[in-house]
Amino acid sequence: MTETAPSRTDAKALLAIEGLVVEFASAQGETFRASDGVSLTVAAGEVVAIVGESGSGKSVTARAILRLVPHPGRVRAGKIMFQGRDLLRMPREQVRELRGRDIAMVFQDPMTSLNPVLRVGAQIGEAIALHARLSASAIGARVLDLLRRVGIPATAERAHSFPHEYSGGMRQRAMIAMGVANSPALLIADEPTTALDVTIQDQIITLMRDLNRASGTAILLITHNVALVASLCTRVLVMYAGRIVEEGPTEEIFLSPQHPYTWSLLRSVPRVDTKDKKRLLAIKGQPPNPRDLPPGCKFEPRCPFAIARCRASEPALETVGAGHAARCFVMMKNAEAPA
Amino acid sequence: MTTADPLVTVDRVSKHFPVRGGLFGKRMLKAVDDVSFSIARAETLGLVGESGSGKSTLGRVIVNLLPATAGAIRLEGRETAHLRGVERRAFWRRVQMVFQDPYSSLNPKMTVRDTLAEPLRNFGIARGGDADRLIAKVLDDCGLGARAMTLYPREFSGGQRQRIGIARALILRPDLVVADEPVSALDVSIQAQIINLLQDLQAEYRLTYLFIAHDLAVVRHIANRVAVMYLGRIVELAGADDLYERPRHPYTQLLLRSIPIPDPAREAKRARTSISNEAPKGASAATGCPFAPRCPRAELPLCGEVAPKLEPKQDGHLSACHFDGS
Repeated sequence: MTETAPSRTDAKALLAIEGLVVEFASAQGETFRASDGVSLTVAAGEVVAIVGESGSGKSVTARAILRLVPHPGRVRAGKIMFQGRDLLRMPREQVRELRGRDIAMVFQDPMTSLNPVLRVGAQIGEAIALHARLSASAIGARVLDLLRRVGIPATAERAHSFPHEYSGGMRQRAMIAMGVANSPALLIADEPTTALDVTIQDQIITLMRDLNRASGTAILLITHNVALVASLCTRVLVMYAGRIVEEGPTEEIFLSPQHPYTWSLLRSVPRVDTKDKKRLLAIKGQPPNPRDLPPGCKFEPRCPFAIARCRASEPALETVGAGHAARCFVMMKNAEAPA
Repeated sequence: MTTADPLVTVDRVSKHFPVRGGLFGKRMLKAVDDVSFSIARAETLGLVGESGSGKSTLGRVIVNLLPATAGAIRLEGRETAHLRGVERRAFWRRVQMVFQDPYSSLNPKMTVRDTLAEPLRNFGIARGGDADRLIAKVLDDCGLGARAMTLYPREFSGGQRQRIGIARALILRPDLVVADEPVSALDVSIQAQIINLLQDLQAEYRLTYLFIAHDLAVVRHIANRVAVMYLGRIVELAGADDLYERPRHPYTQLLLRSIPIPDPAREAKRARTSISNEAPKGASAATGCPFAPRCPRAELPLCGEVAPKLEPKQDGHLSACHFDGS
């Protein structure tokens, strides 16, 4: 079932994904869709989050943007419009040119994304030289400036260090420095702070926020951490089983989530800022297995509000407010909270 | 610090590891450095800290997986390092551990029944049908059906594997469970299930927990008291709500300022830290306060030379800071 999501393509959108389907085939020939009809937009200078658990398809969706879907995944349908051009129909060389210049990506584990035998400064310099014709000394100066901007101390010395001589937080900052070296219009950050300590996470978040404000870099943050979303993003997309189940402005999603999954997710995390020791709301069952999804609503087996209809057919993403949509027959505004 | 009816007492415990490097080839990494506290029966003590703080090492020293370099661990007043024979076996039965990664801590070639029957047999508690009854009971308490007995670890999801890890820790009916990051590898929706389970089991089995985690929100939720570790030392210890609402030590304050809150309105108002320094890699300074190099309040030469003691302050917090007035 390929669903045509309502076209929300915005003429002003920097990035507009429409009906993206990414399929994986197992050795036995079975296929499943990690991303099944995802549509989303990111406006210039906007900070958007995709929230989801493992198997939700959030990372695959993000990787598809730069044509980095891991083998054996394949994009089966959809458009990914960036600055008016479809990245999925662009020759590979052109996508490669875009990568790092117009769209940069930062991954969870900076150690595996940095070349261990090249000095950090040289790697950042290489990223600059790929896209700009500059003299060696101009590149060197730019590298130091970037390292300074991301808060690396003793930049001249640190530029000559190897990645293993950096701490985890410094490596992630170096990755971000490399990512923004060419002032990209869009930074895709896939769980950029998940492996980091909280004090370092706070620095990376502050750094990303500053980059967004100072350079207008749009950010697409992929995360499982709802607190990070509250801290950094203006708009949220919630993914479950390869679909967007809810999207809307951050404030509204947190104050008045309409999809039972979003509602439950927000209540299942303990809060550091309250004395309340109420029992946590646990979502029953397991995260969805994309190889074995229920026929109706994909959240139905775990949903405390499900009705008979939810088992039979899958709801569409429906508008519930300004910029706010949810994929649910019941909707939380109509639901009675379970005791 | 003493608590009423302490089950376990950690008395000036240190754990040093030799590391290579330096002019003379050998240096000591003080992973745990002169740490003292006690845990009352049926209490949950949260132990928080960032990577490299020594919190996991301390957990392993307490359950006797690692020998302490100095100091003593006492279980009901008896020093655990020197137990022999029957008493030593009793200790291994009474103190159990739950690990972060339930997959790598379960034998992939053993069914759940075998995994749980082994300790029952080793300690001469039960065999055969008797063992099966105990196993079915503990699996049920951990939210797994008796059907799970015949399955292998790979047949379970992450959250269910952690339930097996917990069942294995509980099958011997321990008094103290040291849980080292028991929920940090799990999906958010599964974390809540396991946290609730640990709380239910504590009530049912009257367990005492040492709950080690880097997630400060989880620790606030589950712990009665919280100890904050930094580079091998405890810098603050207080009741959970006291600690989170009135942190005294500059490091605790930094930690709590750093956590994002899942509430956009509060996040918008929150003052952000701009401290761009971070924990120096490896060992703490030879002398002085371990936090001094990052501390906004540090004054030289005092903080660089004299390590502050963990002392009670007037509000009942224990804090290790020269400038945290009492």
